[in-house]
Amino acid sequence: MLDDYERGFKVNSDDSISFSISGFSGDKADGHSHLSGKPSKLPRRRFIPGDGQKYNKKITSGIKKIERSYKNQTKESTNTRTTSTQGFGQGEEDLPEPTISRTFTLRDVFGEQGESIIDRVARRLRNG
Amino acid sequence: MVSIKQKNNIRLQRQLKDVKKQFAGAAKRAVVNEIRKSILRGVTPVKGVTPRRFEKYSDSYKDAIESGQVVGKSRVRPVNLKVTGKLLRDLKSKRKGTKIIVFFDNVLADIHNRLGAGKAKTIRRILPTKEGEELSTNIMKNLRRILVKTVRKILR
Repeated sequence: MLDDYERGFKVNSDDSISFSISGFSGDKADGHSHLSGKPSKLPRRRFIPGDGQKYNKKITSGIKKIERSYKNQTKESTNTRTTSTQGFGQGEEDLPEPTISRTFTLRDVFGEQGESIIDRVARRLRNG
Repeated sequence: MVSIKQKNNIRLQRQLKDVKKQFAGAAKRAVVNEIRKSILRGVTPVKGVTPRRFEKYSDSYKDAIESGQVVGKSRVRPVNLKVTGKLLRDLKSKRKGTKIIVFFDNVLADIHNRLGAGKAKTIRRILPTKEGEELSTNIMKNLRRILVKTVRKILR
């Protein structure tokens, strides 16, 4: 069943990842995970996320790490990167940026008052 | 032939450029220092963010600090985002003409500032990155004080 679990992942043409497990292994997986709602004698040990659920943080961050290294290699554009996280509930905007920045003008830094002070200095220079 | 008036204008333009450059240079250092000071005090440098103090650490993180598991951090207050000091060291600035670019060259900055840190996704605003955001009034006041100092220096 675990081998089938591993084999169940497929990368789609739109870069998203889908998962399916079928046949006898599928029934067993459903029995453990209680996903279809069929009665099961087994206690719930969910190893496949259900509707609205995600893989745990360690797994999702691992997936993102692999994804990032793959993208660094292929140097794809940002737009393509966004689509590739489909199926995991989180998009590119959830990935931390390596740098955050803010550009300030002199007016931003010193305010309007500052601007007038700069003007005064300029006038003083003009008058020698 | 260049007239005396034109020569004076050229000289004046150069002087003005120099003045703005000097201001930008002073501002570059001052902005970084003021933001760093504010974060170390546990206060956000972003205007309009309430409460001004950074949200306290989670109970589990506090326990970890108090039991000595967080190497380099022994106090739970103020919440100053300083463990190794690398994040604060990675706050840098550069001058582009008369504009100043202030930036955190560290992935943790975006986590604290936008995405949220830890399981609770706690956001602690450390840089006014959003459109229309400004530096806090206190920082602006200090920057104006520095401006006056720079003016005095230029006119000396």
